[in-house]
Amino acid sequence: MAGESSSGRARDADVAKSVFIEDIDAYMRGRAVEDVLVDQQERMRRLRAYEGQTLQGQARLAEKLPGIKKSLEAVDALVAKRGSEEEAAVDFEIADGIYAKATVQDVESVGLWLGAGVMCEYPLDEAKAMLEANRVACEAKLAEAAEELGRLKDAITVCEVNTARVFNWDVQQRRARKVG
Amino acid sequence: MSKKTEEVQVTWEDQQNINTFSKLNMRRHDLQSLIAAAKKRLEDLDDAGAELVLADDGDGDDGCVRMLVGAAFLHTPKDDAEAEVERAAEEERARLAKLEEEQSGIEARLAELKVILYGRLGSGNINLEE
Repeated sequence: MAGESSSGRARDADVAKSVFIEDIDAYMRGRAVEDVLVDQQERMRRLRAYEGQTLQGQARLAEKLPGIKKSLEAVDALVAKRGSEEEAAVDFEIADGIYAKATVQDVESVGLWLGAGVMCEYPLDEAKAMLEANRVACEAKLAEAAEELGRLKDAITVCEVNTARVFNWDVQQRRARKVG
Repeated sequence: MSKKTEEVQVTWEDQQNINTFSKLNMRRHDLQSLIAAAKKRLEDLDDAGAELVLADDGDGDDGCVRMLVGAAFLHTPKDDAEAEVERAAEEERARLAKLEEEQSGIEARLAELKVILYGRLGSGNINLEE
């Protein structure tokens, strides 16, 4: 998660620090202002492009997660009812707003939608294990994406501050030249 | 955030504080939406709970209420449904409390950083307001 974290900080600092200009005066010696500004803009452009990609990936994952949780909910309910003699009545939506009632008893396997028009039948326990693994992986990838976005944001902010500092250094230089 | 640094040198520590402020500010906005969503969900659960208490028995022919499990409605005895709604509401209340705690932590840290950054760079050189 973006923010402050002691272990994350070390890694964040590396990327952003390499972009940060420590001493503007020293850096500008032998460099033209326009070139430096263009360079910073180009870096920002590339960083923002990567940021966009990462955001898209994050959005896709965020969309998948509720689906996995719903499936888990259903499987858990079936596991809870397993071994009991009673029948359970379930209303399934078979078309928009139209439901059909089914009786379910002692379910041993479920069909899981794997995507791309494929559904596979799994024993209940396997299904639960698989869905749990998917959920954990999804959440881990979401956390990674958030961290990556934090790192990118830092680097972009550094470029923005660099740009401002170089611009103002230039303004100072021009003022000094006029006076002197 | 518009930043003009004139006479003051921006150190790496200043830059890190700016970076942190920026990220925390973003998280603050995200939290606002997350908290609003959690409050809405809690409201819905409380409404569902109230409805259940008022209902005599389920209107299904087996005296059950229909409870959404996954993407289908499971016929559930009214008492079980009430218990489930209460459990979900408890969970949501805990989640909301955690989010609000994070939010106040962030507000405090942002206020701290503002003081530090304005102190270091001057309010003429950096704008930390919305």
